[in-house]
Amino acid sequence: MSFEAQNVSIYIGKKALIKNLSMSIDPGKLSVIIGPNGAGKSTTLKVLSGDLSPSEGSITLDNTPIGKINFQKLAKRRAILPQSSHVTFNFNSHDIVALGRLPYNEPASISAPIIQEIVKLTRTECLMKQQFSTLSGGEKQRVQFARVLAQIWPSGQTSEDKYLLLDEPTSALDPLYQIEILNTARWLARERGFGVLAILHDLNQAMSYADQLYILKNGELEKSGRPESVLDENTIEAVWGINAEILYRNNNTMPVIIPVMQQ
Amino acid sequence: MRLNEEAIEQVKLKKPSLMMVLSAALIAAVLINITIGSYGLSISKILAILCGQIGLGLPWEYASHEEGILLSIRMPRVVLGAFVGAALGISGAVLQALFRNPLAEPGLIGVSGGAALFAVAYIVLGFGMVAGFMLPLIAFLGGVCATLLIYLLSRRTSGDKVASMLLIGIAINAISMSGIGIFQFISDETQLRLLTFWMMGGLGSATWDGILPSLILISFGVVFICRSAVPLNAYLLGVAEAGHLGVDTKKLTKVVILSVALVVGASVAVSGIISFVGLVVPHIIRQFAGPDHRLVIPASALLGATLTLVADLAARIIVMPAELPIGLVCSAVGGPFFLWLLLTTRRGRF
Repeated sequence: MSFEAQNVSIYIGKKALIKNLSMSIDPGKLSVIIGPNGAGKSTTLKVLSGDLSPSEGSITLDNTPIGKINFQKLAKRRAILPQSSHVTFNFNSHDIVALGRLPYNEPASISAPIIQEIVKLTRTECLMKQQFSTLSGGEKQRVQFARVLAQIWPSGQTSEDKYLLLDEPTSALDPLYQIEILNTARWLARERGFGVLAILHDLNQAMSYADQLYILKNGELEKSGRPESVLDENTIEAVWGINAEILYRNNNTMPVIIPVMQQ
Repeated sequence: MRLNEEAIEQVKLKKPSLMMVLSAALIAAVLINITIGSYGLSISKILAILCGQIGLGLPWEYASHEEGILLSIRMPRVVLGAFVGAALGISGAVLQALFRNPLAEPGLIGVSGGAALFAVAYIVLGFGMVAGFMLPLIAFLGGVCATLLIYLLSRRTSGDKVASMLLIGIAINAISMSGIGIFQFISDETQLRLLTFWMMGGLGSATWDGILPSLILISFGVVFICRSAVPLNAYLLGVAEAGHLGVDTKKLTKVVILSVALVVGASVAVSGIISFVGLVVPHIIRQFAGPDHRLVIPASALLGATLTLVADLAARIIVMPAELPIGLVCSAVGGPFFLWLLLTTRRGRF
């Protein structure tokens, strides 16, 4: 059981944005997509979330194409954190997080404790009473993260797997919250069994957080697998054109990628 | 726990108290509108007449012409004003959510104009029958065409969709107005008087038979709109985000466009073009109650009805015994008020 893209291609006119891409987001794992600008990362996320229909191939949840799943049912199974967000009118942050519970049609007595748990988990308590439109980009990102968590948070016992797609979750955040959101994402995968997919730009973050790494280049899957086995000096040179060196700390268990500056 | 409980408390407190204040204001506006006029009627007489209708004798005397004034002139006019005002207030609120644009309003973006154009064409081209369901339905069709055109065209533009949608709406409005102008040009004397009424708006010709079809259509539309309140909240996050949250955005768009066209078309058919109510009312409500549509929609209905009645009262008494067109009053007050709103509200606080 997983959330999969099978042989997906997307053409705009004659140009292929994505070519024959297959990937699988598995429960309990943090999967990460990396690749240079224009590699098709965001397009991949748009196909996975259903915003774009694949020209070829299919997106399936537990082997059912997502187009055939009831809107609300799908919403309870998978949530998408947008890269940036503009909200019309002056909602306060609590209203935004509460909107995550929209698919459930449940009374406030059920949703309130769930929202409270998530607000605590994402450490957004201090933002809840503020107007969303007055927050900084990073604060908005954290509130939206709380909202998408609320959307797929189980309200009781459930055997259904949940999936979380994060479009560059760290882009607007300071270093502390970058680490925090990645820690939360990993925790959600390991402890709550969520299937998490994140687009990242930072190679070191990808290296240290990913359980499964997908490297995209020119709309095609260049390599996939465990990060330490696919993200080597040669691949970094081939995909990003960066001359890099990988150092190891802690008895060879923690690789660190250092770009080598050319004089 | 505290945070959430407080937030829930806030909503719980806000909703009934705001709705109560607005209901009281509407009742007051209704009472004032039926008592004041070129012929004054006292509250006691009104009570006596109304109770007389259901066979209840009250001690206050009234003449039969007073009964006529109340039942066949003031009452249909007040009922029509309340329905049309509610329809316009609600339409403004949901159009602003659908287009994610705080400036959307049926009068400004040509929904009313499209409805009026179709209604005017129907009359001038000599189908004659002004009473009954035909005219409001034709106006509804005009409203649908205008809204659909705006929606489809604004999706084809690139760049700032919000701004381009508004400009497209203004263009559609201008086209509708020029269409009405052409019909004015080819119409005869009697038709011309009717057309002027459509351009300027007015509740003065209200009779029970004339307004009943529109009241029924408006009621239907309002029910559909109220049922869209929760998904419309998700729409404020963005169209794609609403879809991810399980909202069938295509269906919601259709329901909202058709309902708005229905209530606006039905309103225009009996009261002409009344602008700015749909723009100003949701703004005022959001200032007090926030953007949650479960509250914004019913509150906009009440405030829209109240403001329309106040405008109608002004239209009736400013140049008594003559009457100003209510559309003129609304634009004269609404335009500057909207400018003031724009200039005083903080950026991003629409």
